[in-house]
Amino acid sequence: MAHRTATELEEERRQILAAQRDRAAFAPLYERYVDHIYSYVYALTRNKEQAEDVTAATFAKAMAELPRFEWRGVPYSAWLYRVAANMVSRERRRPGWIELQPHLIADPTDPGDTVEARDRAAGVRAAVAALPRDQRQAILLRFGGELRNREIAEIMGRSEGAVKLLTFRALTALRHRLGAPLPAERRLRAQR
Amino acid sequence: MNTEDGLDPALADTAAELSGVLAARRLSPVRRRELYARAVAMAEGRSGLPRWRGLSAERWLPAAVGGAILAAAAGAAIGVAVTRGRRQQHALAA
Repeated sequence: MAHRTATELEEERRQILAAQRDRAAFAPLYERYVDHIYSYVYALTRNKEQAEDVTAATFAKAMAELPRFEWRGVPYSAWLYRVAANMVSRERRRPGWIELQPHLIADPTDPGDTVEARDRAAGVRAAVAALPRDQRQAILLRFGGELRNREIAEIMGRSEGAVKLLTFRALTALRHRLGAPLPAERRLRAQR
Repeated sequence: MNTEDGLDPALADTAAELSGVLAARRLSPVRRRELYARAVAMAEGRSGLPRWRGLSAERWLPAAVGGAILAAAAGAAIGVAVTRGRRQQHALAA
């Protein structure tokens, strides 16, 4: 999902208007964003069941709030990410929440990847998970959600400058911790 | 990867690696449908919207097939009753 053009945003606005008239028309919006929201929540929770619960709850809230949704010229995903982030924060405050330490995180991997690429990808995910919460959220939204700083700022309730700084600090920390990425051809295997 | 937000070029390859590693996980089609059905059920509970509007494909299809079978059975029953009625009339007339 790359940054949206004005035409794509307009198309999304129309989809939202259609879904506001008839909730059956919500399905394309769900299809477009469900993987992104699930990935984001999974990266925050590191728990498949919790990620599925929060994803379903996020879209339930999206459907319920749809009649009151006002288009503001930013991708609909920005609203969804904000709802999901708030839900995760609420869940964290509940008793019984267990956050895995980064070194305990095991990610399902593609058996076709080389061991080196798999280890590297797991190392990157663990390093992201070990970032301070604000930096981690900024990184996940920017590189996982492919959102702009302006949109991330809105989701996080921070200024655009603050988001830039969080991203810069996170990238610097990750670079320091991980070193240079694998050469391109091996990285491509890790990304598949 | 975002480039128009003024990313430090020295960190560009780390950013590119993150874009690849953090790309969205894909839920299976079955899991997607299940989560959608859960979301619809939760939204109905939350907003009190009528249930029929939230019917997903895997729920309305069996309902439609069942309805069609029921309609065909009713039509056949009516046909049999009419035919029997006519035979009885013919028998009485004879």
